[in-house]
Amino acid sequence: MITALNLLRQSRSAMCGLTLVLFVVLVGVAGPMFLDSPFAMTGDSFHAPSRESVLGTDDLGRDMLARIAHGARVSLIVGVSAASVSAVIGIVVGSFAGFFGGFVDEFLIRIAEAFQVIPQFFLAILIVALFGPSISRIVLVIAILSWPSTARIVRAEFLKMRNLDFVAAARLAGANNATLIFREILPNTLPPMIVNTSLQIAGAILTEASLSFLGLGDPDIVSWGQLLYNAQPFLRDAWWMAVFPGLAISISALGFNLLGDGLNDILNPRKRGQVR
Amino acid sequence: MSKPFESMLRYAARRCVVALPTLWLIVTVMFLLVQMAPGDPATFIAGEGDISDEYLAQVRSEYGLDKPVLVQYGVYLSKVIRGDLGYSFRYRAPVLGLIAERVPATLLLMLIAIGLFAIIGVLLGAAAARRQYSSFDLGLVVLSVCGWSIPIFWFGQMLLIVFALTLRWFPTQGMFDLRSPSYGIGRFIDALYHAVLPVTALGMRFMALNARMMRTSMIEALSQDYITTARSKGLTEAEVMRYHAIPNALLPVVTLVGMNIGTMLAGSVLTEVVFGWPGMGRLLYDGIYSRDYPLVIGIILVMAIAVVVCNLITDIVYAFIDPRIRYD
Repeated sequence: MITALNLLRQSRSAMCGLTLVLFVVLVGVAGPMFLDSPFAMTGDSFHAPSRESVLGTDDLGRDMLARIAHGARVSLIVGVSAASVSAVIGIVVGSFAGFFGGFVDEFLIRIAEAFQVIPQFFLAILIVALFGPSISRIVLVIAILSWPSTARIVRAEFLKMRNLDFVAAARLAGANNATLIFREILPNTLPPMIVNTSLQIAGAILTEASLSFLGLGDPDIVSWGQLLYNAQPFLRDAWWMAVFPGLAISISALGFNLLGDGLNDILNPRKRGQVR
Repeated sequence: MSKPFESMLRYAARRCVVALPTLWLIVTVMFLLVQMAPGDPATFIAGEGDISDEYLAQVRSEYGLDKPVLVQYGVYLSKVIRGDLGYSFRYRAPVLGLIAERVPATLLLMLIAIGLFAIIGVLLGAAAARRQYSSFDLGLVVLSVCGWSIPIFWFGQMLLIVFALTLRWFPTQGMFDLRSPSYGIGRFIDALYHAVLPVTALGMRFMALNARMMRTSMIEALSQDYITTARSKGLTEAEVMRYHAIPNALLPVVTLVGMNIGTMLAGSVLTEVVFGWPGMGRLLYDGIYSRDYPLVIGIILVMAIAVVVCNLITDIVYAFIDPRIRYD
């Protein structure tokens, strides 16, 4: 833990990113414990920010701060779970392609390419519109559409490493393929994977917000994109309904992007700033 | 015709042929999704709402919904190839026609945003790379990661609140003012005036991305031996930049622009919703809102095809400008 923090200290952007991420996590974890339910109508509608409701109230008199704090939970859950599912698919596909090479590689990389050429956001819109919005479906859609980039990274690392001496040594020591893949090579792909996952969390948060803004969010929960969807008709009368949820999305996405960039500088110093 | 030009044309033709399976894949994926979706496929083809039983029966027989899946697939494929994307019950018009009406508005938004903001981004990135680690460079790096993190539609809403609702410098919604001339150059200028805020909202993210990429690629280019050679043979700094550094640094940026056409189109959808811009995105939003499934499916299909075609064009353009690519 201490060494990890010392490592992060090397990059100002990683530290800034970590601070922002921790702030959002704190709001998401602690906020709902102390605040009203996001559905409770606590005051007048369209109340500008004041002492009673720090960030104002919405068209139905619900407290914006409580709604934003609940939204933080949703965004973090969506971001982290979508990036994790995508990482698992990406790792399995990428390591098999890279390790076995040949026909397996050709086949898997073609599938990954097919996923990459289909414009992802539009496919996400279509799936959610046809199958109906639910938070788990949105997570799955984002994950299914974003795993190819992880797979490519893992595959490239595997191609680099599968002929190195330490793998040959393990093979001679009697390790089977599963051991070689998961115990020997995979841990070495961790640095680029961590960077990629952080950036993918930021992307997933933005995608979820965009879908919800189009009215395709899960109606049973409060999410930031949905708050902006609700704010759109009232921009003239209630600026606070739009300003604060958007600020929350930007802070979280910025946090994970900065963290990813910073980690990239630390973990691959030779490729400074070449992530995207 | 010279030999290299001929081989380039061959390369372009081959890229076009390779793109065909991609298009087929997209149509097939869409068909499968509609098949797998819960509910009666007839409602996805007809749309939801006030639809008569006779119309549903007509749709069932026209699309062969009582026949095996493969027959349905054949019918769907042949309809798409002929440009028949179905009928919007809400607008009472063929989907393709509805989309075609809205293409110019979206195109206007995208072309200005891409053209203007890609150039600004490239220039900023190149300037920052020449003064690496200066405060200007640092500021641009920070701004570009912010620009990449802020959601387009929220940025649009903020522009709308500040510049349209509070300062009243720009109109809030739509593409034309009813009191402005309805023809000729006056109408075009009116549209441009309405486009200022949406284009800014859409271009911001793109500019951030381009500035970042150009900066990285320019730093890389400036460290190459041919730059030292160019300097040592007595070229001025401006000449070194214009003839050696920038053309080489631009190559990855061209790929980036092409790869991000899809992101831009997605951004355009969101921007159009914020500003009530009468393009394809707004039409898609209305379609989602009123559960007009043929319209939604049709627009998604057209946008997906547009993205594939743009990627293809980028590939070919890249091959033409990068002398290192071989065509055989």
